[in-house]
Amino acid sequence: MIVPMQKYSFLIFYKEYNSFLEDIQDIGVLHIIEKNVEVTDEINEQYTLLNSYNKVLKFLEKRKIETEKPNYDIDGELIFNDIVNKQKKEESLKQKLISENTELQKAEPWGSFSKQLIEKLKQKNIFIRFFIASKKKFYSEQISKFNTEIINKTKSSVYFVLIDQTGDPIDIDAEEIQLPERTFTEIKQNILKIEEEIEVINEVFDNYAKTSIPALKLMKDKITETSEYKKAILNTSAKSEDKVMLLEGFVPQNKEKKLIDHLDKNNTLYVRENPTLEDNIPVMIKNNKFSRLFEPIGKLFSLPAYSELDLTAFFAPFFMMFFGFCLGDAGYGLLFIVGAGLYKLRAKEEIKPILSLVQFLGLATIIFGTISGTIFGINLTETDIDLFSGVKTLFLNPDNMFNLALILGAIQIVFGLIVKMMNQIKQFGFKYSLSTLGWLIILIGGSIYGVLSSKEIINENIVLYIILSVGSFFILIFSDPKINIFARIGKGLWDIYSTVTGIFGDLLSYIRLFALGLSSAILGFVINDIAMQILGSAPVIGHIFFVIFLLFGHTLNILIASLGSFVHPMRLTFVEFYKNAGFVGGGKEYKPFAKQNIKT
Amino acid sequence: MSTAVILAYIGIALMIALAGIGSAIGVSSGGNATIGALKKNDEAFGKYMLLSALPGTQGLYGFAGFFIISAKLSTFVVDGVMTLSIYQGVAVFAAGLALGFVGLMSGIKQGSVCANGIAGIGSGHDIFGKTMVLAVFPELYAIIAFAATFLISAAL
Repeated sequence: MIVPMQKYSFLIFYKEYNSFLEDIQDIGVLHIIEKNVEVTDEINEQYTLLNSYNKVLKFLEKRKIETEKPNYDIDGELIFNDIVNKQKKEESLKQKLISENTELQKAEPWGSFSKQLIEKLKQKNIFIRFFIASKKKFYSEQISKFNTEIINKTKSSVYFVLIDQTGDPIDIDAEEIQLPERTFTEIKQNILKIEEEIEVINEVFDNYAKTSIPALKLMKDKITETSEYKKAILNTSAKSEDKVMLLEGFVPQNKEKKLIDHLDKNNTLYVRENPTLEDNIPVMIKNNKFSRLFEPIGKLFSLPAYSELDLTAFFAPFFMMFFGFCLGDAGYGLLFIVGAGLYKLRAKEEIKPILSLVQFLGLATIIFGTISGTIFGINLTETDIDLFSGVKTLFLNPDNMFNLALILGAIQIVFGLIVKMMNQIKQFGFKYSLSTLGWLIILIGGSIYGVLSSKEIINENIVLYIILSVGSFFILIFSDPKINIFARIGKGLWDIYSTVTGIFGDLLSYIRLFALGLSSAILGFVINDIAMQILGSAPVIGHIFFVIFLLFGHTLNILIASLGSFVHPMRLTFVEFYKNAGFVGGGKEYKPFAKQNIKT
Repeated sequence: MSTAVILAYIGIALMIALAGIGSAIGVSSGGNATIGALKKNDEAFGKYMLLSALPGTQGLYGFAGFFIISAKLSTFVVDGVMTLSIYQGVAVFAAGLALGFVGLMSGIKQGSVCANGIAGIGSGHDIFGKTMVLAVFPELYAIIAFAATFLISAAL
């Protein structure tokens, strides 16, 4: 159900406004109405900063270091700035490393030499010049004329120095290299130094990862609170020449008491009124423990509008049933329950609701697997196990499952229409729900008549005609209580056409339940069949591969079938059920102006 | 070798071949998109791999369909010769056409949905879950064709 909200308006003297806002943020139940103002640059900067904090936190968490006792002595902001600076430094050091390595490659062939010696010789007019030539060319006539000394040889080239008495350019078929600035050993040392620096920086990062992640998170939460605070100020209207501040917002009825106590204690001026439909009232849904598990699924689509019914509790049991139908294997369901149960023992609090959901879905899977006689891909209707021979006839065969899928679909559609009626009564009044009532009379009455007449309990057609006429009366005459009678009949006729074709299409859509259930069961059979063949093929290796193939095949089947079994019931809920229930949606989520939950 | 048996085996061949081709093209689209996305964001490889693998199921359905039908056909062997009535042969041919073509097109198209999803994740959008949901929809029709094949084989 949707929690009713109360609208609050506060008038605060501007000098007391900051302390007022801080108190409101502390109590944390007011959802502030946002004015149509553009977010200031200041707030945008805060958001960018928050993004950077998130990136730094992810960076630290990725280092996968065991966290130790959290250290809160250093301010989160200093840590953040230090990390960002060091990341930049590391980046530039890494770039330098790349360029140094290229230099190293160039200098490597020349080995160690003394530059001073070469300079001294140059002063005495003896020039030592560095050349690279291909082997063929080096041993040719042209170069052998000169005084050369081989320094290094590779597969295809020769690195040599040419000793010469002039510094003039020499025309030989070789590439002259400028005197390398630094020797091989010099560059190597520099590289080692850079690598050391990078090591040191990484150690600093690891230290932070060990102890400072909580301090960073604390800083991040503080920044979030500050930006929320600034946004609250942005959404305040200044009145009476900026002497009085006006703030408006919504508070859920079940959380009002603390706020009212505080306001009365401080003699704050406020107005508490019922919200009108024109206000964009935020939506907070509240459900019992079972339906609460299904709220995340509903949120994938849309929150309901404030004025309509919350359908989570209504679609939850159907969703569970349909999932079980589509997966349809008692063995897989058992795995879900046991697996989720074991994981629950060591899971974080946030994940536990999802695991409970998995367990309920597993329960439904066991039920439907039992109905269709499928367990771990073994078809109990066809195997000859004495244990089950008594109940073999009770299992449903594919034809029955086909009919069952359609029947479940019909039930959900009729239930959807009932919900639509309730919605219309709640939002508009009883008169508006009469056309839906007409449809319900025809559908429910018609099917009861159909069942009873096929069992020959009622045989008079007159009963059917009465049902049809009463239903049609409501549909045609009450199709839209706001317009005149002739327009109503016209609208009613159009309504009949669109609803009949709509319901027919919706009903057929539920066949997918049968198709999905059948296909996952068949794939299970096939996996078992192939595994049996592997078992019989070779004595020892056959057994090993039998087990491997079974595990691999059934795991694959569970994964693929679970994905389909989750998505298609979701589609049936959001399209077929919501349509027949008249769901509008588009509600805004209730997000109160509050402090973050800083867990220390 | 009666016409019925020829038709039946052509059906089986179509089932395996076309569904397999559909899956092959589908997962290749995913693979190509992954290589492109890795250039932009090489951390989400697991997600890319999972999305690329999704169109692989159509080939499995083709194979499972072959398995079921061939198990059924082996019960029609009389004196070492497979004897099928023309109705049975045509029925298997029909199942082969259905599962083959549906597997082919749904595999290819599911592959392009997944490829677009992979490209989106590579560009930095957080759409992994939503892409998986969308990718399941083309597969539904291959599932329906597979269910039809099973029902045809049960009725042979």
